[in-house]
Amino acid sequence: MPPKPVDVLQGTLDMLILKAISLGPLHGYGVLLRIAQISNSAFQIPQGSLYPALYRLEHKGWIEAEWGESDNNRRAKYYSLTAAGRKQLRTETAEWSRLSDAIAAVLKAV
Amino acid sequence: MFRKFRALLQRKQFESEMELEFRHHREAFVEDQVSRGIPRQEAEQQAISQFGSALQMKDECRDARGLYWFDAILRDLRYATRQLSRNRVFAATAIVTLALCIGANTAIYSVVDAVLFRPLPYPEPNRLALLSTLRRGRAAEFEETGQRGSTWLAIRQASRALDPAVFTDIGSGVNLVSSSGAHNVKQQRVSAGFFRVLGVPPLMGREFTESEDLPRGPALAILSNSLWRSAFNADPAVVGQEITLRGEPFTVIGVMPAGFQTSVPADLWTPLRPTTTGEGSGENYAIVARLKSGVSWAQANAEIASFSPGIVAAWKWPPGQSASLHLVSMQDGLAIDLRKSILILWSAVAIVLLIGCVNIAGLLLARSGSRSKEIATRMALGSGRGAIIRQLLSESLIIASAGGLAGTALGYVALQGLKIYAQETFGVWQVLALDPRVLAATAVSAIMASLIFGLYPAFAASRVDLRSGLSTSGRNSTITHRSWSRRFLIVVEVALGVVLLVSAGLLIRTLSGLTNLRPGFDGDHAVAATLSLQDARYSSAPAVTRLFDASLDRIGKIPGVESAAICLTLPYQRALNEGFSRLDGPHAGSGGTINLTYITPHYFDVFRIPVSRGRTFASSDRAETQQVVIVNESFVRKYMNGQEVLGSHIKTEGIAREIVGIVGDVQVRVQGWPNAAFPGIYVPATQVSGGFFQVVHTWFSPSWVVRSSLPMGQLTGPLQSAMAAIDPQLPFAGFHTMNDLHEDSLASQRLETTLLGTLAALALMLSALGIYGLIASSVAERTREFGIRLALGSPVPRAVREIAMPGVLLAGIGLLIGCALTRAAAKLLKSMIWGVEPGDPLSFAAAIAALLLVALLASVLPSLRVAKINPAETLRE
Repeated sequence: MPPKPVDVLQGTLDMLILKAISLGPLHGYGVLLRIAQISNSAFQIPQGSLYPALYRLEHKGWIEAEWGESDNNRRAKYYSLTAAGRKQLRTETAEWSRLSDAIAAVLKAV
Repeated sequence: MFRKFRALLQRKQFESEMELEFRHHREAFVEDQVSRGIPRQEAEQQAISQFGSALQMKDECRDARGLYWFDAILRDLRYATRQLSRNRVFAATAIVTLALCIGANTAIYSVVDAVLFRPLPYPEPNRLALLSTLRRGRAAEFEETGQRGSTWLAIRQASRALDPAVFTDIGSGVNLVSSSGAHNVKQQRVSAGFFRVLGVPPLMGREFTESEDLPRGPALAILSNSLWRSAFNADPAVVGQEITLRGEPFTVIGVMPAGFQTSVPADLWTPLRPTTTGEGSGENYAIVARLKSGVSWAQANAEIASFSPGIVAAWKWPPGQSASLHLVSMQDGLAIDLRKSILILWSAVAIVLLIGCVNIAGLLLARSGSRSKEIATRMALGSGRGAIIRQLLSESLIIASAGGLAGTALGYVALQGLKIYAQETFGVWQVLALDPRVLAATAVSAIMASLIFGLYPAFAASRVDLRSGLSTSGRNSTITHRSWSRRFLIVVEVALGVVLLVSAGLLIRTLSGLTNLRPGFDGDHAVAATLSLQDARYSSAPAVTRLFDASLDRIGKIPGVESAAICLTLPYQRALNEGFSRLDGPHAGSGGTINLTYITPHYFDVFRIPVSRGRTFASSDRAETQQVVIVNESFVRKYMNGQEVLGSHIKTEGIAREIVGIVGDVQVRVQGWPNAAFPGIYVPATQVSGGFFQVVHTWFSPSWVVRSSLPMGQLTGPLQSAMAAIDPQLPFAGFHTMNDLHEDSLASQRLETTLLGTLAALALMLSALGIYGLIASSVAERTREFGIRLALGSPVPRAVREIAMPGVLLAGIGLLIGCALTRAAAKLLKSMIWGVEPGDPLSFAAAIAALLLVALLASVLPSLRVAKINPAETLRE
């Protein structure tokens, strides 16, 4: 039985979205599915915050959107990473590793 | 920034794409769930619940795109519209109030703008000046732009800073004969260089030169564009041609461009030929000048100041008076007579707008009372104070925009009515229209208004105390605060109302006094026909006498005409001012200023003017017989006290005349006052010189007057053809009943009174509504308190009294302040009122009574509601 899904940590949603999209262009629902898939459904993305986050990232210029055909021949908006987004993902990944290493070190210390 | 801007433009696309994207998401989700074996209906419901509030998410998406401020405003406006449409009576009252005020302001402001502010339609209008004379008497200063011929000569010779010209600002009707017939056209006389100074050269031809603009110079004319089109079919060959004007040939030397206007209506211009004698010996000219390039106003004025003492020294002054010359801008100079009336009207509409604002502020205040709970709730839920103020202000803004738009429409309608009167009565000559200048002023006043009435209640409402706001208690700090604001508003409203009502009252009393003056003659069956005798063929006394005799002979034979006469000026008109001196009696050698009119024998019969002593003129009074004169009773009272009148002699125009009769006074127009009795003398038309006829006929058009029981419509045709039979080139320019003349003589008083009266009525209506609203809402708020009192056994009459008293007291304070304000304002009105004192008790009493009645009704009617209060119910609320 999979563990109970946890809410995404404040501030990590952007990083997760960037990571999900970095593996290939996705539409909004696809982002949800992919995050669930790669985290083994550990994370529950609140649907209400997905789209504002996507729009925010687009506004910042980290992802760009293009209308295309989805698997079942519907028009859907596909998001893909820009060069700036790729760079941002690298920075955030590095920072996250540093942070989680530090936390792990603190927790193991005693 | 650019992206934001583009985002605004692409707003629609953005919205529809967002919608499409969300729908795709929901459908994909539903299909996934269905493929996992969940029933479609359940899946759809899950989709909706998981998706959360689409509206809120959309807002967040918009915010994420940087559309925050735009959306915030839109949201505020949407919410405000919803709030207003939920309370239609409130919204309608506020909007109608504002529309009335803005409409009145728009219409009046378009007149104000045309008279005082709009640049004159000439190049570089801010460098055009008029020469004005400031006279200082013992008590008052008086400024006028009329100048003498000698002043003109001095300025023209000596000025280095100015390029001057001179003109008459009275257009006179003259006769023009062209191939299309005889016309009476308006002529303005201007000097050489007049058009150069204004900066508008003729479209074709040239203007007068200095060598042409001299006494006995060539007869030349410059046509206006519209006359050129209407009478000469826009024929360019007219320049250089001869036309018959004033009975003699004039050569057309130029045509002005379309749209060119001077301050008086003019169809053509002829040389002024300025002199220092005759008309030039009085203040009959106006001197216009353009500052030469590089000359500042200070330099130009310094130059005039250096000339002034030398010029003024030659004038004779009554003791205690002095005068000096200075320059005013041409715009101000032309508006010198109108400025005061216009400013008074402008202040009056501003006061009406202020009263309207106070009303709306009162409404908003009352509403914020009933909304304090809503506001407190919103603040408790985390809404900032700024957001609440912004919210309330956007409601004010919507009211202001709607009121402003409706007001502009009302103003347009009002202006159409006002236009004709302003042009004819006030002589407004610049275009009157709702142009961008006026519309901008309207927009500014609407926005200012919304800030005045919106800001204070918004701040007051946002100071809600959360705890007391959320509970229903009737007694809390907000209400105390609100009631102070309300008291202030009631006092302001009453005080402003007093100012307008008293001012209107004074003008109404003036007008009714003037209307009911005893005319001194019977004009009911008299008709006057006027024509211009400024005509080369009538420059000798015999020629004029022949014309008068022949025309009276013919007119006397028209069926229905009882008697006929000719006079230089009519009752209710301005007459010729002359000096005279007494030749015998205790005051021999001294004299004064009188009105002089020449008449033919039956003049007093036509107007039934009573002859109190002596005789009237007869056909036996001829040029070669004893020179005679008839005087009026004012003359006798002022100049002949203690002296035998009949048989005395007076001298005027260098001729000694014997007084043969005394007649009653008639109302005439006198400088400064519309109508009054004034010392006057009548001389027989047979006993004046050709030179005198020439001078007076440049200024006045004589009238043929007939007494007949026929209506005027049946007389004009026979009169016109009688005249045409004698001289086809002398068309009558106009026909008037004495009633028309009476109306005309009071037209500007009537217009001022009507306008101010309308504004005062509007103000009274608004303050009645406002005061009622303010007092009624304070009663409504105290319903619970009075419920308790009644429950505790307080008698109803006492409760009623306690509720009604504060309103009446406040109105009393407002009345006191208003009376004080009005005492100051009435001083400004002084020149517009006649026959009443600025402190006229009747006007004050009427205004006070009207406002007090309004305050009483407004206080008593709502307080009676208290009597119907069911204590048990109010306590439970």
